[in-house]
Amino acid sequence: MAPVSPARAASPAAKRALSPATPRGSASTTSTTASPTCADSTSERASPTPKRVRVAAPTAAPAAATAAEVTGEAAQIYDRQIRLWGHAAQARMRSARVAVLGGSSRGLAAEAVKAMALAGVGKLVIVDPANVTPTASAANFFVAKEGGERAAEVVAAGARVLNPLVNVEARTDVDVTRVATEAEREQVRAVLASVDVAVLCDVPVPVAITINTMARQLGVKTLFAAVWGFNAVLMADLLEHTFLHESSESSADKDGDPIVTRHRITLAFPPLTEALAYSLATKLPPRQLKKSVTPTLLSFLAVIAYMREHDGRHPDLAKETDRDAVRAATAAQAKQHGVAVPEVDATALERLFRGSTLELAPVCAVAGNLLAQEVLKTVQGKQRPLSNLMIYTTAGGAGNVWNLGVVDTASVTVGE
Amino acid sequence: MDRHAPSRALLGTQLFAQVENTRVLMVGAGGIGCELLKNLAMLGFGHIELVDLDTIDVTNLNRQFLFQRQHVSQSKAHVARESALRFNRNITIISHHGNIKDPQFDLAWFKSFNLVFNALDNLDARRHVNLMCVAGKVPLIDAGTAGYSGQSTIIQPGVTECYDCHPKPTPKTFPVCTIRSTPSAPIHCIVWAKNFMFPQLFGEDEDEGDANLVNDTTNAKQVQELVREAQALRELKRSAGLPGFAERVFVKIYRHDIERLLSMEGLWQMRQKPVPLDVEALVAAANELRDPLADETAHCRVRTIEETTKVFLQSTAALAKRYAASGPQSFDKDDDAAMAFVSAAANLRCHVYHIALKSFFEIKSMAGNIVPIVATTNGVVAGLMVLHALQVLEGRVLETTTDLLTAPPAAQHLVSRPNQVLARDKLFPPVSSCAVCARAYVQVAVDTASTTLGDLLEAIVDAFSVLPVDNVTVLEGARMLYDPDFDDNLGRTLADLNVPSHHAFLLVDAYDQDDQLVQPLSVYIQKSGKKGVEILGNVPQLWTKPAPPKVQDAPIAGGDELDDEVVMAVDDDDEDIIMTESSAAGNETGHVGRTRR
Repeated sequence: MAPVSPARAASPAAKRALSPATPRGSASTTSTTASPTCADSTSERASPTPKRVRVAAPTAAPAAATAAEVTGEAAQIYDRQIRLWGHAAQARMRSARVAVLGGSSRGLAAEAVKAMALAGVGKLVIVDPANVTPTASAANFFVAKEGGERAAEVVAAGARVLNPLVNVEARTDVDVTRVATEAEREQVRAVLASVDVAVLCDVPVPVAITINTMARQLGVKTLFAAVWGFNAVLMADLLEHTFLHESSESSADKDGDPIVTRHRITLAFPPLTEALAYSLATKLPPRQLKKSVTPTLLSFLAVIAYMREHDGRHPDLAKETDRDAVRAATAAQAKQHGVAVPEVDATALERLFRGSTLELAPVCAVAGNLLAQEVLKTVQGKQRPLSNLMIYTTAGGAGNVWNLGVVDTASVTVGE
Repeated sequence: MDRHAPSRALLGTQLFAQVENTRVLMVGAGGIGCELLKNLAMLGFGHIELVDLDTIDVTNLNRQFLFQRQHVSQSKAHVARESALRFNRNITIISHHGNIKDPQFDLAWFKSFNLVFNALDNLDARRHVNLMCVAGKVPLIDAGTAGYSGQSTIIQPGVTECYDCHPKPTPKTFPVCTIRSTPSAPIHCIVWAKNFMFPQLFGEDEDEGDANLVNDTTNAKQVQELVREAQALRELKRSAGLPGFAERVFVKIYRHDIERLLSMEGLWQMRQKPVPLDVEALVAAANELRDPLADETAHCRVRTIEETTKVFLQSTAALAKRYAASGPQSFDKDDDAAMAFVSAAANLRCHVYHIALKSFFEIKSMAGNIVPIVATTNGVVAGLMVLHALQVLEGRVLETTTDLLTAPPAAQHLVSRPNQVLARDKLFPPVSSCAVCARAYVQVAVDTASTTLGDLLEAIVDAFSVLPVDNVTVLEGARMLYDPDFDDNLGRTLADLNVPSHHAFLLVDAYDQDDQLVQPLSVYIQKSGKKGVEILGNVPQLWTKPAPPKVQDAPIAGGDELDDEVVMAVDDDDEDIIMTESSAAGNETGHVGRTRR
């Protein structure tokens, strides 16, 4: 394993979560197989000096096949995606446990659960005591299809139909939004301790921050996402996260295979609270800073700050008091990031955040699948994860990412 | 409470009413299509028609979530409709299990929709839908995905670029001598196994290929050898299904053919010589082995030469038996015996030519042109498609804004950059030289049995004063029907000329006159029971502009340029035979890249 800086959290669960390249139940990690998709990070050893790795078939067959093999019907069902991320990544997903906390009535959670179930995440725990809301069927297709009382159970039932190979559990006895008493906290902690990744869907921002703090202590990674009307936000705290980065160059070797360089990179994520207190001015030169810290970013950070001070409530920008509060928060954010306060038009701001408590099905589709993709990357330990704030706005037409304090702590070139 | 209350509140009453009253067509009910249909149904699009010719395969189930195990081999369109109706019972969904190029899906039918969605996996169909939408002036949302890449874009005919405004990547080709005599990469051996050896042994008998080969004078000797080699193979094929056939093929192609090639010294002056297989020893060793394919976990590693020989012999015998019993076979990546044959034949050839061997898993990807797909990419792209559709309904295509928080509507594509996951691409106006959207389109109703080309041309030049009859050409696809110097067809009926009554666009192009260019015109032939020629709808105004620059003739879209197989094609330039490998294959992709950087 590559040398990494000391983990922020050191419980056994933390160590497990930090080592995505060592799947549970994988007996052998020794084989060197023929293909870039079959050979995977389970089989590489770190090499001391950077070198180019030609990913091509060895002429002699290796003695043993990897234990991470996916066979039979599963191999057929997952064929097209295994051709993208490889057998080892598929096997790591199979042994991953993910909790989806909150928002079970809404489209975001439905989309994310669907994508994770289809991909073959080993265990999904849907945690939400809430009943299905009257308008749930506007964006949650599981609700629209199945009906039923408890949203978590409806979503879990739907997910089981989509992929019987996945173990899906509904927990309606635990409420992540209630962590006032020690008994309540203990319940939430028990759920968090049983998984590798906690996915917080559409929970209020203060709740996300509280759960993130608890999850960190248990060595559990946090992904928080929310759909606010036409917009979506995603924040990640993957603790100390190691992943395999493959970059293929356009040039090809003599066999016509692209030349692939592989690095094992370790990132250290700050907790969500620290990320929100981070100043981009500490990292970016003035010119880049001006380009990076957009009015959209500042507006979202201001709304998040407002929510933290108002029990997670969305500001009502039609009201002057809320508008003033958000304007003040925008100015504070501009100061925090060392940029001038942007001249954001009040009606434009109101239009951007209109209907923030509501959800629109296609926005849920975009955000839920981006969220699921981040979970899959996280449990596979492949590809650079989204670090660590993403804002998607329909009006702006882009999903931009800002790095609020995530640092690369190690990078090693790995061979075949 | 009304389930659509949140959507109505967000979109506004007017836009939401438009959604409810919009007639949309979606072409393709696969990876993108399933996600798209869900989004359209959830949002409450009132009338949705979908077309897909495909049936459900088990490898679809990881992403095409409207289908489950029990649906395998049923119609995608019909099952998708059933599943999606359960999301929303208050809408109309009509499913068509058929090819979008079928006659029933004519221009009038396309024009009956307010919006069309392309959720297609191949270039040809995507271009056909684009052509019909441009001809019918129906807004099109086009999307594609491959792996983690994907994009959605708005095609508003006459306003934005169309799908054909930019040339698509040309298929990969290999010189025939590389494939047949001097392979140097695994793909050469795979193409040889799949496109030469498989059809030679188990396909239709054909001779044309050799006739073309003889014309090549540069490598006369080599070509003669290849012809002889193919003839020997045809003779051998007569014993297909008889005992020892597989062994005879094995000896021929891995020893005798290689030895014959070795006798051509010139070929090997700059290359490493191939080494014929020790056929007797390998056959003997293979006979001792059990079926190597039984161990599925070994699909990801390279099998030994003995194992590969065993796979070759047993798959050849199985395919020969099938050929003898039920006639010519064609390659299908999902046919286990065919795939086993191609993987083994290719690897044995790689071994002979000192090329690195590939695993079964990899060879299947290459031979089947399999494009890796994940559900999440399709999910994001299908969400963007619906957001783009809302932009079109709102009439906000190419709108500009000065607002700091918004950007003009645009195409979008998925990226993996540290600072971005979804990037915007500006929409551009049509490319003036585009062979599809630079043309004017007119629809005429004719009785093809009684209307002559002359009748039609007369009606056209009557309607378009800038088109003088003695100065135009008429083509159907690449076929010349009329030219001032070629008027033989004027008296023949369209039926007699084999002009199909649906999807036939006659290209009427004026020659340059008085240094003036006239907009090229496409005439869509609509079948009619009535005698005579009737121009349907408004007659478009053809633009004229000073020449030059000269507008080049380009092939019409929707033709038969490509299929998703590797094909033998004749390259006009040097009459050399080229093995062509189409890139338009696989699943949700076709291809992705029409985005600008």
